[in-house]
Amino acid sequence: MMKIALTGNPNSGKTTLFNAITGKIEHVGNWAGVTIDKKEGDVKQSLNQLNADLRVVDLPGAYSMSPFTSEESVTSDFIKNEHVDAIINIVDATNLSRSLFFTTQLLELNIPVVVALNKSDLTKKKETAIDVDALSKLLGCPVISTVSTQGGDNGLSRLITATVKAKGKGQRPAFKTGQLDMTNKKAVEASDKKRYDFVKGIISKVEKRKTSSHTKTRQDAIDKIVADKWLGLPIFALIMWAVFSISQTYVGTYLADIFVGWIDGFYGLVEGLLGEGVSPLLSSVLLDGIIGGVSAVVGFLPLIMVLFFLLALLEDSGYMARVAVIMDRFFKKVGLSGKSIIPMIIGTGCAIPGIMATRTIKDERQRRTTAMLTPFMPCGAKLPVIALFAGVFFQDAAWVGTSMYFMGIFLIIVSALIVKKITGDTSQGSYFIMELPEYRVPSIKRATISMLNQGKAFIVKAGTIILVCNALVQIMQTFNWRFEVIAESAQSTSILASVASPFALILLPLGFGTWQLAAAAITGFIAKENVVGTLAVVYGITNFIDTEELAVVGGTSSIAEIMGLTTAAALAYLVFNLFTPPCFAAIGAMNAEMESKKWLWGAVGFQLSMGYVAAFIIYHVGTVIETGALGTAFVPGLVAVLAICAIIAVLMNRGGAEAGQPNLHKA
Amino acid sequence: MGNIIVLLVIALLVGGASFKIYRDRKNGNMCTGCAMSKQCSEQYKKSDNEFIIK
Repeated sequence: MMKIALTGNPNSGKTTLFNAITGKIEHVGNWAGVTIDKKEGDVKQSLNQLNADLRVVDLPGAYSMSPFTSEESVTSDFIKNEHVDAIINIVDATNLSRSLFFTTQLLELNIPVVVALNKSDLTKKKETAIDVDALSKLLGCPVISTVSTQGGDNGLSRLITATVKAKGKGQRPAFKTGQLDMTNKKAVEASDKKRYDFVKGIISKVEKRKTSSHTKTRQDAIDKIVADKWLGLPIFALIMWAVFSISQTYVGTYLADIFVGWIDGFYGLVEGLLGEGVSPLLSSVLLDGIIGGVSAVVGFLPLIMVLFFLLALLEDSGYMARVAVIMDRFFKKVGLSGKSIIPMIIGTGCAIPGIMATRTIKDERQRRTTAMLTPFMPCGAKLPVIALFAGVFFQDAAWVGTSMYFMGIFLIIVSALIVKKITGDTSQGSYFIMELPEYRVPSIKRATISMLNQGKAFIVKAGTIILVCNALVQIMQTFNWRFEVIAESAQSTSILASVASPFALILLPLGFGTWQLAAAAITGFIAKENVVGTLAVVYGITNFIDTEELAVVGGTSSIAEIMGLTTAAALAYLVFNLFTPPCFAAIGAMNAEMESKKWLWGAVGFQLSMGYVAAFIIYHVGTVIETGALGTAFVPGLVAVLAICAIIAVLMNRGGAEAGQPNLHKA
Repeated sequence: MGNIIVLLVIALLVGGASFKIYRDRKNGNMCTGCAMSKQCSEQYKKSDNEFIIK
């Protein structure tokens, strides 16, 4: 088998090319740092004209073979140690001068290199001409123009053929450094300067630009507004509000209404088939537990898919990288790395890859803090919970979803400041250098693929984890501890009620101290979508979307009445579910990345405290606004909140005192 | 008879879902149904398919 490594600078299009030649659908994004570990796949037969046995490995982006970050280490270690037969070096044709530094280093390894001059379509738009033949001669390796985002004659077949033919031929270096003492900083810098000069020489011979790279472009003008110190954040808020408006107020809701009609039809069909001859116990497990619970979650599928489609468009346009720049200003002031924003943006899809992306942060304290705070960004699994509460209690208002994102950012900033004090960190903020990708018209195809992947994943999760959990919840709700079927009027004696009731007591000062709501919050630790599923099972609701029809079924005027929640309590419940610890899988990822039990349990306790305090404030302030009086159990809640604040204050004080002491390790 | 059929359907649904979760975990997909679970799990793997337990 021939092993081929795909390498190149960050955001040069490696994963897009990898997907195009293997047929895989790995996650891509229009910004640097999307890939943090290697991925493998076989070349599609349609591109493999020589019928060779080909295995391709997509590596994280790197600027140099001398690694500076952990993901660059993955790339350089793999190329040096894994005996690859050939390297495909993906070079961004629109940024040749930056890319060829790495290319000249690869050419020194005596492994055949084939250069894929990617994004070649964009060079025409930028009025830049590259003499591909001359570049090939000067580098001493094949150079193939490719456009991995297009079908048809995109150069990929020629690229694979050239790579197969290059096997076993060795590689002549275009520029040779010779033996270099890597510990000698001056010698390394001098060598790098010579290499840059060599690259400049090549560029002057092969590239003709009509527009100088120093000229201010339209992109610079947009960035001046979008990433502005004052305008950046309001623009981000406006964009997120528009995304939630479209997905949860207009298009998403319209589609969800149709979809829920089908689900209701299916429910009615099964109900009719069961008839009255079937045991009510079995009938309720199947209808209310399995079908009802899963349907309540799946009903949100259209809203979620529209939301993911829009977020994918935003990411593909290059805007999300600007969000990193906007947030960097705030993050470095509270002791976080500018790099912390990347895991947090990834965390909006799923907290687990977000937490894993923290490994790109070198500083241990910053890495652990980022892993602790990333779950505060609402992930995809929390979206059905947001959609449910926005729909039921706030008339599908887009501000609910938007404000949850901004509340997450606010909690991250406050928490980072607290953690900085607790850990006694006195270091100055680090500088964050990130290459901003070019704005581009987002691809409908890529956004659709992303949306379909998320939709498929949502359905699979609903049909597996959610289904099993709902069945268990229904059984626990049906029996008491002596395994006797309980009467409908005695549900508080069920196994579920007895397990959830002690937790309900703790939640009483937050406005939602019922065993049903406590049970839903607990099952949310298995998967956050479970909150919706469990609420559906315990309240016997199968449809949270079409609330008018549901109100008739429930026999009350609204779902709020069925749940017994005021608007303030509903918002507090949403905040509690969003900002307390994430699901167990994400806690497992935190454990892996933090590599410290002290940090892990500290993080879980801290997240629980933040969620509790935030929910307490929202419930009581909201109740005062709503009714003019404080909510239920204010005093015990206040005692709990003050105790949390006291513990944090003591820890912060101790951290500050330790920071003032001389560091014996440094002395 | 109706009860047996419904019981079988419930067992099939719950059993099938549980088996899928078990099989995914065995294949390294730690979160069944997560769009990115395969990528995440890849990152935990060593080249010899052994999981890194930190």
